[in-house]
Amino acid sequence: MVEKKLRVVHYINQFYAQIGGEEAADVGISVREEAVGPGQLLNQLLGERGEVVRTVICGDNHIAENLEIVVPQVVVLVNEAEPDLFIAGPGFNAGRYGLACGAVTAAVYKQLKIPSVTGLYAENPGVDLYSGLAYIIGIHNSARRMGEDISKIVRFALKLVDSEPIGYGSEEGYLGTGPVRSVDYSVSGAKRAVNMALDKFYGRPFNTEVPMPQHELIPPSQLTKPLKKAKVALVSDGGLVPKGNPDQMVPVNSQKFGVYSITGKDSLAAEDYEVRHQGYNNAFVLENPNRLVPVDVLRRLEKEGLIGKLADRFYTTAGVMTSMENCKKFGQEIAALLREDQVDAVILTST
Amino acid sequence: MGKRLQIDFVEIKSVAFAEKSYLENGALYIDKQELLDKMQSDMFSSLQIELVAPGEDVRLLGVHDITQPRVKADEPEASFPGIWGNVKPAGEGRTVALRGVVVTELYPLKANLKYILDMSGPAAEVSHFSRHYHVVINASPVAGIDDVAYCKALKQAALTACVCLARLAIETVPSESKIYELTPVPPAADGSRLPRVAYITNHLAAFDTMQFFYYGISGQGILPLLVHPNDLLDGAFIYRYFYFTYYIQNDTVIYELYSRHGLDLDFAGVVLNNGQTVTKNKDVCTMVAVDLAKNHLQADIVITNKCGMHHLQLEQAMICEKCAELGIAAVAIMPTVSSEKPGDLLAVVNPHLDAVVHSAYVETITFPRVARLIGDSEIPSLLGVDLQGPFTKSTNLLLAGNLSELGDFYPTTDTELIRKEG
Repeated sequence: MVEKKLRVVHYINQFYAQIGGEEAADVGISVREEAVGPGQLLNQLLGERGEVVRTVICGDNHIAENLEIVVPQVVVLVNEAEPDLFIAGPGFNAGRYGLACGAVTAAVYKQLKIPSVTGLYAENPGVDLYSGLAYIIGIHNSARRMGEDISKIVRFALKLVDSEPIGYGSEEGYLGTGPVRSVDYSVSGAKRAVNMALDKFYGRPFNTEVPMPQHELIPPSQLTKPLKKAKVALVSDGGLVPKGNPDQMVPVNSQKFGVYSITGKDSLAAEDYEVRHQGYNNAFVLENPNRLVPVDVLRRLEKEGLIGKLADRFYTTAGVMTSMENCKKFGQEIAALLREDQVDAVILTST
Repeated sequence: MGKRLQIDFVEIKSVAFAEKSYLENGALYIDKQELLDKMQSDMFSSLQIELVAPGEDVRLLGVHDITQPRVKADEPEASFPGIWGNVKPAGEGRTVALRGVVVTELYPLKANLKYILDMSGPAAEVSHFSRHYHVVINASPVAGIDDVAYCKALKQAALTACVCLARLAIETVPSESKIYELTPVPPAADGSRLPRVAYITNHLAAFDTMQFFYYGISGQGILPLLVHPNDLLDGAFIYRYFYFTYYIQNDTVIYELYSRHGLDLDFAGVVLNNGQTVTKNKDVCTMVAVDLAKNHLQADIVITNKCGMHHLQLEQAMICEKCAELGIAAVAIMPTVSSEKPGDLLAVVNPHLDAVVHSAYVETITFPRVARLIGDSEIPSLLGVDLQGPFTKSTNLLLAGNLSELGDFYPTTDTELIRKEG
């Protein structure tokens, strides 16, 4: 039986389409019903398995500066060609092109639910933004070894097309976690669990539905001055807020953090505070808020001269069921404010 | 011989108040005053029952527990043994369950987490509980009583309602009758055996108003227990605030394992583990749980899930790690940890969590304006929001019946009930 050739849609920029370099980066979207530039190499490597039936081309500036408008337009053009597979780039270490490759691959995967792959150099800014939303194969930083890079992309793309189990990025060659795994939610979780367990028991291949993310390791920073000269701030994810919850902080899945003054306070009075956090029994904190945000102790240490100064504001949010993305954002924003406050050290209390 | 449980499911097609309580051709009639009298407690300053139908333009606020009405046909007084009524082993004999109607408790006291439920519109579309009739209990506490006393009274009232309603169906011909029995699985002709599967279910009992009970005994501080799956299905286990008892009465993992028992697996039994709040205790309890699975249930495979927030993922990770050491193939069921990006709400990253089922994802939806609200609670995750709507919010930890932590998800839960639009 002759297998039907896969219909492949390919996305490239103005440079690889030989429209022009930087001077042509503002050029809008165009479509050609054939393989163009690196697409020809793609065709060779796909061989009997598939063929580029459409190439979508866009200028780097045009897409990178209008992602929200242009990416959906690309998705429509990809969809029109009724593809079985979508490949973007590869974008190597090109910033705007990398961004575009990541964005269109993520959007096509999410909306059209077809195998979608791109390739970027690990330090391309597109990797940081899209490696959790798209399969991005880690490749070289320039087009010098394009054949090798595209063949890596094709090998992985065919695995996706053939619904083979996909291992971790370190084995498969993609960066980060890759996108959320497609799951058939019309089959109950219990049934899928038993099926997966039997596959695992019998040593048959199976796909975990939640690949473990690879978190970056953050080394603790060193205090650069004596503690007795350091300004210390209190930060907590235990949800302490002033009475009345003036900023309407939610007790779960936090969307923001609060910053509140403790200027002139020797300790936190129970009648002035409440807790917005649904993940622990906060009776003890309601009784004595200092047990979560230890202003009383720090003020004493300040007087004793063990620390230089207690910062005038404390930072607070509820950590419970808050997404990694928001946690990261809060962390960065709190760190910026701490720097503004010229804080040297932080005590982070958690619950 | 092991326990043999027969559950007769009787389908309820409509619910209405009437002069007397009876069931006829799937229509359930309730004498409101009679039921109120049975549920009354000194702990309530007021007690109301409201009927809510699928498709109604209404939003329930502060949904506290949802229970399927059930009764032991031969001894109604032991329908929730040790919790409500007599002490007697659950999980055997005949139980009658109403399908399509539930008893729903609203919670007026302060709580950090409260659910809502829409009976029509876009939020109802993504909730399986919107397909049920609800007998809603709205009881106010007497001023000055403590939360635990009120919680207890509320639970007694709800279970009373469950038993009273299900009693009406004892003589009714069921629409479905199921037998649950762990019959021995003999080896195949060639001597080979099916893999033995143990189910380790982790539940949190954290404090007095947020815990579970097993035969009326608090789950706080208990060590892992070897339990019969029928006991969990049949009223020995209930929640007191925190989750919906319905999900235990209809535990989808137990149902699935039973449905395949003797076909492609041998359902070995269940270990009930209390989720701990201290890491060392998590370590100890998961060690004991896996030991029970390995050395008492002779498990080749472990399926593990949890109910009690994301820190119980640590129990799941420890269980998978310990299973790996013992050569047991383990799978963890985890909802809502991979919605936008993989692992975006994972509290634990562990390489032994290498076989994870993502049972449900989170959606953000627009809850429309509704004609009527029931329950006047402050909903902590809806501060500053007009509860009548419209508002746009994530369904996670807000919409009852979208998913359960244990693994249910609205596309596959209660699929035999058809959704109605008003």
